[in-house]
Amino acid sequence: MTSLNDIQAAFIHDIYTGERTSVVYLDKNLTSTTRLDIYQNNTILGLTDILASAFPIVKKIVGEEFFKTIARYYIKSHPQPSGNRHTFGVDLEIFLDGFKLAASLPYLRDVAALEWAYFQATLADEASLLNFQSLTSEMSINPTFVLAIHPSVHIVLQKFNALDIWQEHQKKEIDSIELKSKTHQLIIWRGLNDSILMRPVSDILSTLIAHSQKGITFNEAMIAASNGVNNIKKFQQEFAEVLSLGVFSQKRKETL
Amino acid sequence: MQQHALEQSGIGLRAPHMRELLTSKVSIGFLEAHSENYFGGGLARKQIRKIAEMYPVTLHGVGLSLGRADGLDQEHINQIKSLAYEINPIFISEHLSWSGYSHSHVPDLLPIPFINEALNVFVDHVNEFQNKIGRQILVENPSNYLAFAKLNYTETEFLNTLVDRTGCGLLLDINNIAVSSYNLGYDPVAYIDKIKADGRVKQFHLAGYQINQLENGEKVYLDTHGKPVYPEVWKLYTHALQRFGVIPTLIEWDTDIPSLDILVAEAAKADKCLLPHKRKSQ
Repeated sequence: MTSLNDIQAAFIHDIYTGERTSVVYLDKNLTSTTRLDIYQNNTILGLTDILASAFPIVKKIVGEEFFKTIARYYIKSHPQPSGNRHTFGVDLEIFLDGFKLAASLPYLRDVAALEWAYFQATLADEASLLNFQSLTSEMSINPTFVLAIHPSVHIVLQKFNALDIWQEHQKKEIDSIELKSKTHQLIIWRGLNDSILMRPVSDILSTLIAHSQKGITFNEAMIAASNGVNNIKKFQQEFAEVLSLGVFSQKRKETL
Repeated sequence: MQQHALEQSGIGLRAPHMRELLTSKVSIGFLEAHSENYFGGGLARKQIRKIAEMYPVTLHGVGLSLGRADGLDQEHINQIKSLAYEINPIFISEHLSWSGYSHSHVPDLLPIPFINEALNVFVDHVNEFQNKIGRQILVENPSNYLAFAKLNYTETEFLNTLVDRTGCGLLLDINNIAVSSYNLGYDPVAYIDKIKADGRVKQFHLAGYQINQLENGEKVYLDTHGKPVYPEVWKLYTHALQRFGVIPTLIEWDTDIPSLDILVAEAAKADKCLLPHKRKSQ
């Protein structure tokens, strides 16, 4: 007897591989096997559109045709993981790192990482922002205070000056950009007025954020982050800046 | 809100029209939002909340995959529940289809084999979904391009039984009936006549299709939602109105999206068709 599991496993396998194992389940008097191509084409077009909406600058850099090629290879090796369209594309950065056809564009992976963080920052939950007064008051009364990081905050590792490349590609007329190899981290988040902000971040601040996201108390996170750091004044200035720009929050909004 | 939505046809909510719709109130019965576009928090979610303050809204899902054999995605249900809680939609609808199995999904509506096991799975999933969100859902007939062998039901028998066993409503997509009937060789009028006219049909969809030729020379209708509604579909719509009465109607247009005024004009055409049936029911 035909099982629904067998039919669905075969059908979805065929869509992603181009094989036609599900033909045995079809009514050949009514339909041809060629019609399976319609579902396969819809899938490739639909997923390519989803990638294009999350990675507009990657698409602009490589052009429409090469972007379609990237998408075809990516789709084959990374099926859409769920019905939530916002989850598709999470591994494009890693995929591009090893994609031989894009080997002449080593910075593409960095741009993809930046764009994915940007995209996720637009989708993140809302949270009330932490201000200086609340921070100092919390620190003075609560020794186990944990610094809450705004849900939109992402820190991404970069090997090239991808932020310069990304910013230049926002323009209609793109000037040539000097490619610089420099390992650094970017912080990307949704700031005041819902604008997405991006800037390089120091190791000490990124460590503090990473520890805080794990629930480590502010005091312990600061000790771990500042270990071996000489210029604490520079960090204090950076901390004050990102505090005023909405990197920290009061409390995560409770979801239903 | 609900009464207002019944009086005028609606259109699909699409990103290019968002600003215009938020800037000033457009004369439209209701807006249908694709649920998955508003998952998560953030900017899109803020926009849909503002839209819901200005217009009646329906939620139309394309990714839950009610027909999947291996169980529903609970996180997906929670997202819809949270969204529905915030915007209080008139209807929540999904499709008579599946789109995911195991860890692979597709952004498409895959056909259901109308066998006993598929019906039982669908009934269980509709019941589970309705229980978890605490309200009735509507199930829409999709466009189909192929048929399975060894079936226990026709599509209309499957839909009628599903409603009888779950208490869900139906969203009849008239364009999809035209597309599937051409592709699978059945009579679209007979299809409409076989759906029970006992109040189960709660909403209509209208859209445009595209005619394509496959590599083997076969001609197929594709449900592209990229053109005005075809005369043949308007005719079927008139027949459906005669059978089911005045039902909230929506114009879908998802590709090659035209300006808002063109969409509103297309919705006004549906209002014209509805008018004589409104008079009858008064």
